[in-house]
Amino acid sequence: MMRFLRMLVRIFAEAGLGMWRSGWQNIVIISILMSTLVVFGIMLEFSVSLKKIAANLLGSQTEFSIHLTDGTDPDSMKRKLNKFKEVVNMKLTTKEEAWEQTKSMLQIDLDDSLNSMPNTLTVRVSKPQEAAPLIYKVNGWKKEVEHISYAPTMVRKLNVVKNLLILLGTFISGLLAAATFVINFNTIELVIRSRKEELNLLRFMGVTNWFIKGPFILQGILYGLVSALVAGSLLITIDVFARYNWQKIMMQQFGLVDLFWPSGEELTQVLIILTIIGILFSSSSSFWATERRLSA
Amino acid sequence: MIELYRVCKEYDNGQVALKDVSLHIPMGQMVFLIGESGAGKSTLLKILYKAEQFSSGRVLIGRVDISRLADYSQLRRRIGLIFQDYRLLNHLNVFDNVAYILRAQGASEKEIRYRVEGALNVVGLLDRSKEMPQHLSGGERQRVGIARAIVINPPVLLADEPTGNLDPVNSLKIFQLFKEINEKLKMTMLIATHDPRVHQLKKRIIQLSVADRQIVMDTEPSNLPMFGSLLL
Repeated sequence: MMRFLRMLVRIFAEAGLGMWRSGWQNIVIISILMSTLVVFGIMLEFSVSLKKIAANLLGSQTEFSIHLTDGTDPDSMKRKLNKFKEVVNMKLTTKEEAWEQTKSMLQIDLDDSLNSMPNTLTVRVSKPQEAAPLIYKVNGWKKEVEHISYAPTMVRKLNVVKNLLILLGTFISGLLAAATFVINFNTIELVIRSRKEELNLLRFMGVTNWFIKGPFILQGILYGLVSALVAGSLLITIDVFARYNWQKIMMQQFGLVDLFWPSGEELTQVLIILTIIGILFSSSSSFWATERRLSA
Repeated sequence: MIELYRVCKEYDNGQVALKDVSLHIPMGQMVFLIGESGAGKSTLLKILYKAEQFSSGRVLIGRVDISRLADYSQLRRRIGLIFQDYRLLNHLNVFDNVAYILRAQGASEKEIRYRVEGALNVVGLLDRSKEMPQHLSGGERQRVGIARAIVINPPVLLADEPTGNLDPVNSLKIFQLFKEINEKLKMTMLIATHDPRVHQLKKRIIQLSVADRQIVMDTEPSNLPMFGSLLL
């Protein structure tokens, strides 16, 4: 057992020595792998956020918002809607209130003459299946109704955005991943080639195959680990600095706050996933290089 | 003990390197393998440490048929190797070069220190253990190579032209060192060389012929021809 542990420690030492001997190539590999992981991490964070938004919106299937045209009297509209027995509740947000909310959120003082916000009636029906027929009817009131916001429509739009983001992220990650794989593979292969005589000597001395291959695979694992740590730190920094602005965007576009930013727990999960992917990725390319060059 | 029975080595291009070579080297014997360049000396040694495969025949080291071995590392850990170009690891100092194989085998630092110092003492380099290989002379580098080979206390020691890069004085010192190691440590030794002065050491000499790729002379110390002494 002690002998095994000593060998393990020495394999670690050999891997460290190997990295030291790889010089500037370490920086290239780690930079590219880190970039891959950052793109992948941002994609994951977006995915988590959009999923949460979609889930929240789907939870509001019994609710829709009617943005009224200028000149429409909200009270007469309320009376008109009250005639439908499926309407259980209505809430009016006047254009002044909406304007104040926007100014407060953006933290800027705008002239009230610029207010283009509509009066909005948020209507709740008793059952989700009652929403669509009512929306269909209300949508026909062209004079009074400017626009209707209904969650499932937004969910569909969000899903399109999410899918596009995932596609784009996957494409960019794929390109970077391929570049990392090739560079890591080539670096390990170059190191093996440049040390061919030495490695042959070790073989002839009776050094076991895994003692020769182990440091190279470990070198790959270390690349993955270091890249993931740097990428994780970068993501946390982005998270801290961008959170405030992100929230503003969410508020502007969807009227949603706080809830949809990945929580600490979710961010930790993203970082763990990145670390695992980084390690798997770089160690597998190292493993492949050693299998190709050191199997005999 | 090393035994070869009708060993042939033919390359893919049809070139024959060894033809029906048979020999028996008892345990603890020191043997010089001589012959011109291309006679097959190195090929024979490489076959013994499995750097090359033989085409036919049988090779036994310590009664083990090496063609049946799946894991060569076990065999190689029982053989000490010495090369003409020393093949030292230039990023490690003398001590660490000799210690490398012991570290790879998981030996403790205490054991490593004891064995490496012992091996360096045998080759007379104990006081230079902290030097880097590039700061040593050719003769000293070869001594490090010998220390590295004997540190695992192998029953068999193979040396391929160990004095090929050395001047005559250093060559003789290295041969003398081999003789001392053989007498002290009782290792079976097969040393390939084209240095005719090995006759002076009064050890068994096997000669391979470049024309026939076969053994053309196998002389025990008592039967050594006189020309060897005359050459000195």
